[in-house]
Amino acid sequence: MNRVRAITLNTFKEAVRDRILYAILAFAIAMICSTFILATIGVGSGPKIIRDLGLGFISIFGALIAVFIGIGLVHKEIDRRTIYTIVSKPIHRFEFILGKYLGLILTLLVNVTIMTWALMGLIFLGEGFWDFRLFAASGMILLELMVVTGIAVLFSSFSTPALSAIFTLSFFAIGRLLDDLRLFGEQYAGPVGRAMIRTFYYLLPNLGRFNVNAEVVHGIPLGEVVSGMTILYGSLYVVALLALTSLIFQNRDFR
Amino acid sequence: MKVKKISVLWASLFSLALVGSVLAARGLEGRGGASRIADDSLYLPSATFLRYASLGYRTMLADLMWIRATQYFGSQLEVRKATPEKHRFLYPLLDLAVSLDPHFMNAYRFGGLLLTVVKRYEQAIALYEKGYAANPDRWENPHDLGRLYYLELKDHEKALHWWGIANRLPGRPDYIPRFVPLLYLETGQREIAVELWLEMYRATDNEWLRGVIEGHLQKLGVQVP
Repeated sequence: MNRVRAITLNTFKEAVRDRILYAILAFAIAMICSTFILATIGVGSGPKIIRDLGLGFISIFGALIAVFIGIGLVHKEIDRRTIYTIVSKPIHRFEFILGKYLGLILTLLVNVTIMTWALMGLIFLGEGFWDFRLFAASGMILLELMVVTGIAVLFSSFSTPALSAIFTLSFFAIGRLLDDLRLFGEQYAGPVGRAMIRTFYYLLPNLGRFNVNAEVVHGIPLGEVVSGMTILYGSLYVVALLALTSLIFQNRDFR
Repeated sequence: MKVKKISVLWASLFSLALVGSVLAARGLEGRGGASRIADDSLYLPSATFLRYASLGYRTMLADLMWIRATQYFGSQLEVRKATPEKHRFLYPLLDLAVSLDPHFMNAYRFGGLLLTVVKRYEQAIALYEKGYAANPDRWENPHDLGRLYYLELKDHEKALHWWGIANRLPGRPDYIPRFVPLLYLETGQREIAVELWLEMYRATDNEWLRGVIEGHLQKLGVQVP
């Protein structure tokens, strides 16, 4: 456990030293604050616009951080040949993967929290109260980012950063459209097509499950969408991704 | 020293190019030509396409469509000549906003009002009815439909139908129950109107409201119990 913690903290320190992180974070906060301008021309929909766009930006920029730091996470160690020093030490390879993953999740947690507080501050300035419901939405965004990071780390373990970025972004897009894909299949595909789509529907990450922004913005009770089952689904998917990454990484020959 | 000179040179070139581009942009302002499309609303995508293209960020896109609709409404106010073309993209833009976010109450309510102002009643009705279908437990859309039928189309039967629905929904304004008996009276259903007023009279302790009801009942020659 200490070994995993050491790698986690090291990965976190490495990530917070990365200038790209600050660039993305600064841009995200600037975009969140700019929603205030759009809200002023929203004709009565200002509070909704600030929340919608703010949560949307947290999700988009969070995904960018997850992808662009996640894709280099393992590959960078191989490229710099620092992996040889690590694998020669008494450490299991899955511990290395887990530590790297948790380090990035810690980075994302800090960033999502900063962005959420920035949005809440903006709302407080405009409306005079702290809208703590936003934490429910950003919590689910973090869960979504955990899955996205898992995908990025998986590709990072056997592919180049450029290809990993393309694959991860593709999975992100497909994952967000999975419910629509299933609906489309049920309406238009034949029996074989429907069976195929259903298979993909259950195998691919359904990121739409973690999107509760509309419910939070409209004040709809979250009980039906945010359940223990959603959290269990996300957690199990992450475990599956990390297990697959460990399997691939275990069989890589570093000589 | 040489490095400093080169830096000054680059900074000067940057400043000159920037000022030049701003001047050129100002020169381009207002220049159209046949190839330029006057109204980019001609290229409105379908709601189905936007649902996919939004990658799940539907409410964000709905907000942008809403802002675009209000700006389009504003831009059309500058067009003095009333033609059938005027405001023709208002409904498609509003429809896009509510298709992407079916719970966007302000887009139904204020959008319907904008359509009413420009006398596009059929489209306002379509928007409100879509809002009621998507939010059957909200009183706002039936209320606005009732108002549109009552004030603009003078169709009291339909106004009664929609206000009757609004009256049964939680959170509806206090004045709706007072309007409903009046509408029954106006549509020739005197007995129901009297029954509703009597029921309201018995149910309330509010002296002002009791006075209003007494006034209505006395006009109809009905004694207050």
